[in-house]
Amino acid sequence: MTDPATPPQPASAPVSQTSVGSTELARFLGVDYSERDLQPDHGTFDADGLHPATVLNRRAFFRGLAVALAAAGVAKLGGSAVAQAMTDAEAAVADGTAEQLATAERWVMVIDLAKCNGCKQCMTACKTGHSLPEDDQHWIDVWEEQGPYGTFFRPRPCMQCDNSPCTTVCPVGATYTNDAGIILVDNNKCIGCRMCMVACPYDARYFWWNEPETPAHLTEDDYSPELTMPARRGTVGKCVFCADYLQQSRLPRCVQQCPQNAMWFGEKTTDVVTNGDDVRRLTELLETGGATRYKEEKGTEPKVFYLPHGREV
Amino acid sequence: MTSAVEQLAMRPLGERPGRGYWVLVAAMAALVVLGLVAWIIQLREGLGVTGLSSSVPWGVYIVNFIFFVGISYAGTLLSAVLRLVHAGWRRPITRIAEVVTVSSLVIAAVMIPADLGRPVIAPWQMLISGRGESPLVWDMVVLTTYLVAAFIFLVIPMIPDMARCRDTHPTGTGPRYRLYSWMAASWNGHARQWQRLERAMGILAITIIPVAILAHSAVAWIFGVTPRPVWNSTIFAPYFVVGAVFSGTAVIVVIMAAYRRVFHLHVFFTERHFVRLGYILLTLNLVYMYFTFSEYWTIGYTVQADYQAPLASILSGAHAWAFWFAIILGMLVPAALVALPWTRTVGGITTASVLVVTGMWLKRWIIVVPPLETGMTPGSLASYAPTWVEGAITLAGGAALVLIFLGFQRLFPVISIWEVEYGDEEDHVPAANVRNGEVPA
Repeated sequence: MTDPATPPQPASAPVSQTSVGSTELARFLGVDYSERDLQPDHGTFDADGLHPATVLNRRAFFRGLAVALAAAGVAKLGGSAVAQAMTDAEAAVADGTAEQLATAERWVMVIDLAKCNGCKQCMTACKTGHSLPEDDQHWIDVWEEQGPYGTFFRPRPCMQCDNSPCTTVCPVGATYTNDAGIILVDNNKCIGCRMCMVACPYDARYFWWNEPETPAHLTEDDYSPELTMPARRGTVGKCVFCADYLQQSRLPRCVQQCPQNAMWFGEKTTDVVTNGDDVRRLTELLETGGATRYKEEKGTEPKVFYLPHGREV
Repeated sequence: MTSAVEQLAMRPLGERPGRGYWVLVAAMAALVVLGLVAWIIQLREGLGVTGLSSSVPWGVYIVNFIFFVGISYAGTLLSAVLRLVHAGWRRPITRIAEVVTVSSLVIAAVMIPADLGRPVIAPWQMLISGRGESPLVWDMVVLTTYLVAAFIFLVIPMIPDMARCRDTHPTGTGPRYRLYSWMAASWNGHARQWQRLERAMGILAITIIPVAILAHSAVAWIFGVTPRPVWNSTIFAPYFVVGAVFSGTAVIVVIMAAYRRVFHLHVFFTERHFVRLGYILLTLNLVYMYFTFSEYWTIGYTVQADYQAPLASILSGAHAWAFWFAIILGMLVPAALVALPWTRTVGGITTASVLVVTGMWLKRWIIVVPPLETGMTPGSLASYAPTWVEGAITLAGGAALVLIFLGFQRLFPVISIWEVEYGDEEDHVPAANVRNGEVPA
């Protein structure tokens, strides 16, 4: 796997670019962002029953993110940390563990409960970004909980469980885990039985009870499970870690919009997370923060970590 | 020569029904039509017309589904189990029991598309991409098998009676005659046919019992295999199975009482039948109470955080009325009505059965709704009340069952004539003689 002890490599030259067009970006990334990659897939499945779609390329994401961060001038340090992570990843590729890396792509989220003040801007960003109604479809929800040190706010996206009860109980395989570990719903296949909803220990799934409004800029043909839009009545909707944004090397909408920088997003194998302002090693952040996962006892192996409230931050 | 049994059992077939009959048919048909209208509205508008929400995604449709699968146990218990133990008194009841099984299973099956978000694509999706890992697929496979088995279990023992209807048909033409002929399957009452019938019934009776048990276990596992507090219970499968036989037996008593009163079938449905069914009902009642006590006692004794809210909602909160109705009026009172000699009458046992059926519907409500309302996170608290659409579809389900019975008794003998006659003779002559061509045909 990655070796954090590898000496830092110079990685600043491209990061110093100030203005990056999409073509240059693609060339720089060395990734062939062909039209096909950007086009959502329409409900075909490969032999394993998995959605081939749009497997998210971790390296591309972080390269793109590094550029984006540097271009925005938010974190020079952050940019180089990402570059460092990329170097580590490339070293692993050279070691012959590339295959392992390619299959071990695991997006993670870390939410700092000590920083969250319950402003619910993540909810707003999510609802606006995914064209969700006000009174339902809280793909990320924020509520107040009673903890050992008083009350705190808990933002709850989908936990993207490694051991997900929702995908297990789905009678038709409409909800599934994609290659990047994100749990999606293919609303072409969903029959609306709602078994996944009653099985989710986090109540993270929502049903389109009424006819959803199609966002003005989209047509039915634009639909992909990653984009989640346009929604379809009689099917289930949920948080997908903004899989559509990840394809564009952008952070999920809620992470981007958090004014407290309380939400971190990153990848487990590369061991990097960012809150859009700062970049950290995932393991270090979890360890120093004393991270936990919600309802660990359910055995669902969530990919969302919580840093406890009541810490000095 | 026609026997007294035959004359009595076949009388409703030739009679012109009275006004009361048509009023009842019209009322039930109106309810079914109202339910269909409600369903059409729901199909057009979406499930938003129900009281369901993302917090409480399942409601009365699922309650009805469990309820109707439950009462389908009537046929299995009475027909198959009593047949296997050679309980002779079962004979006049078997046909009714088997009709309850088939018709309630069909109604249960209709509750599934009523509940689905996309009922139109569902059958196709289940066929092409059904996953063996999903409890809903287990249900589909087992319930389909159960329905087919129950249907065979109904029509096979109808063959000799259909032959009789065919042979006694006044004109020997017309659609009704053709139906009887077709269902009689060239029956001529030959000894070899009797042997085959007996063998077929023996095999079917043995086969259908495990299928029925699996069917309701699969229904229970829809809830049992989820990580939801209260649902995630190891005893759910046997608990559901006992509850199913309990409610199924009660439904039989109610139908017997209605037929007895309306069609004067006192000869067949004697007080003895009510009392015997009453004892079965009492036994199942006690077992069900034991399961219920065991379930809530073990949950309630601990202080596990996620069990507290649903339990409070059931025992003392928003749904306490339904729970205590089910316990007091649906279990304790019926138990007393059967246990006490002076209420162990046709009236008393029928009253007990009506209470049991009502209580068991509410008990299924208690199983489905409160654990959803209290949610698994603080973000998912909501209360649920069904809308008129759900109410109309529910009533239509019950009305359809009544309608099926009103129609069935006009078309077919509700008493298994040959079985009753066979039983009469069995009491007096060795069974070997009966088989030896001396059987009523």
